[in-house]
Amino acid sequence: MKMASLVILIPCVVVLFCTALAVVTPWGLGNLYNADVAYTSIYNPGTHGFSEVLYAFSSMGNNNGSAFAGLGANNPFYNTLGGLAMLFSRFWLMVPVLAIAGALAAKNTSRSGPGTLPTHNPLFVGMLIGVVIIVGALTFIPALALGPLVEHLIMVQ
Amino acid sequence: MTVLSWVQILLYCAIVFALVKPLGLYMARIYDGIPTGINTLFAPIERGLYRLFGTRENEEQSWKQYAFAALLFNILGMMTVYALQRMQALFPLNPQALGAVTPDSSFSTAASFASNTNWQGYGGEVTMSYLTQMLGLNVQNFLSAATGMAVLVALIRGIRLRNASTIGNFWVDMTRSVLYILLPLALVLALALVSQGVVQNFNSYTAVPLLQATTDGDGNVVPEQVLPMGPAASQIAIKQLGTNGGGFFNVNSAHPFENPTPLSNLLQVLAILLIPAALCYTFGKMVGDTRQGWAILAAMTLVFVPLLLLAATQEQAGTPQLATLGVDLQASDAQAGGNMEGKETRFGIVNSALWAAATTAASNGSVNSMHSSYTPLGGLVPMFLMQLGEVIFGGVGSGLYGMLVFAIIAVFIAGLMVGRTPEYLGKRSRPLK
Repeated sequence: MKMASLVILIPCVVVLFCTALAVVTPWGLGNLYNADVAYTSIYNPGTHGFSEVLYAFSSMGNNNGSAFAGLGANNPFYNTLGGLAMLFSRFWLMVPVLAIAGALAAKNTSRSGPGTLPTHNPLFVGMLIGVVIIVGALTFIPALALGPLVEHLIMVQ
Repeated sequence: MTVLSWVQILLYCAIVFALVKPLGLYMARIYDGIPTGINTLFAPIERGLYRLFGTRENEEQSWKQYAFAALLFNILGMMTVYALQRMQALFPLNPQALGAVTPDSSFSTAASFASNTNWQGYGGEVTMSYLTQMLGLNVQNFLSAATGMAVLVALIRGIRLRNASTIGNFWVDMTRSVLYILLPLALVLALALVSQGVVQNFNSYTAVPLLQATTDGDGNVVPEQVLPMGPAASQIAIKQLGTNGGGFFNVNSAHPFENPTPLSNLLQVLAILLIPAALCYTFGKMVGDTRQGWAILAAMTLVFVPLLLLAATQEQAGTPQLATLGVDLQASDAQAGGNMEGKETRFGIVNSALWAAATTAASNGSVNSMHSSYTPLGGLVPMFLMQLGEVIFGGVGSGLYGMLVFAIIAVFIAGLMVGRTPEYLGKRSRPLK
């Protein structure tokens, strides 16, 4: 369970930490916000710029690789932080997963009985979806509220 | 949305689901070493590779040895990609004489391709030589995908085995993934893409006269444009199949040489979800209860489809700002309607939204439209699909191992709620010793 929790928490921490770091440091914000920086990274001011940074690190921190475009990311700050985020999320997940594999292999199988929760029926499918969505929503709704959600409200007002 | 939009989404889902069982069964047989035809035909190559690299096929590894092999192999791969980029000016197959890539960009790209992310801070046609693309990036497309599949198979074995101290052999799982699954599929897809007009050559970039001469910002007449070339098809096939997503050209699958026709678009977007979906069946087959695999696939699909429909309807609805400007947002036979900003006219709204949802549900990351130009909620969909941890289909192998970890957590939570012993597929979860 400890390893399983690690697998789920590492990408969340990587995404939120890197996004936060990018929007509070001059190197992440770029020279439209701080004239001392040599390059431009966030071209779009306000919520859309934040969405672009959040998207970039959601993408790198989960090994996706797509971009929201619009963000100038080919500079030392994004290349280095993003590179580290990608490596963390990939390999620090792979090792706990293999640890789980090793721990499971070492166990004996218990016979399923009346006390066993079946894992192939609609109830379990619903349970699994619930866990995935709740973990994702609890972690990211606050960040999404600052980006696309507020952008939507500005658009329709 | 129009009737045709619904038909396209349904057709897409139908083809993916029709392929899940045959491909899933095939992969289960490959990993268990059951003869399927292809693996008997190419067995001499497999055995030859083991002999060449001193691998003993039947020697099993503990999880620590397996993890060490996976990490070491990926670190070496990453260093190779870094070195190739830094030294590309010295090597052949560089008709545009592109210079060394900067150290920070090389690091980012090496980390990106080794980790199956394929985040690209660079533009392919102005940065990478053909050799770097082929030997560095494309090789990693195969290897990072195979690494994910190998780790998944090790986890499945962990579930299946009893009182065992080993979980398989990393080198054997890697070799079989590449040789029998990724290479044959990529070969077929690459040829299909070439038939649609995806480029595959070693030519230098070609200048062609414009149909209509234009003027640049300074008022000079521009009579011609330069078209990038290169061995693109072979890279694009595996970039989709291996959920890599790194484009040969800067604008990825929106580029007409990467994705020229609606048919090439369909083939590529199918390739994105093909292996991640089929691996669910492989999992069920390998643990001896295919219902378990179908249940996982059902959970993935039930998250994917509503989010896809949210993106598609938001994009088709357009924005009030476009309406204020007098843009006709109605879909008709002559136009796609909705928010077409950042989308290709040859794909339209629904194929762009379908791609955006598929590419972020699977950890692919190739794009055929610009996600930044989506409506706010349309853009939220791909972002949220990634934030769910890339477990809704997810990367090849990595998506399913992530989802299986979620299944273990779900069983644990259910166990807490109803007071049962948390166990998944007969394995009780206890603290790790």
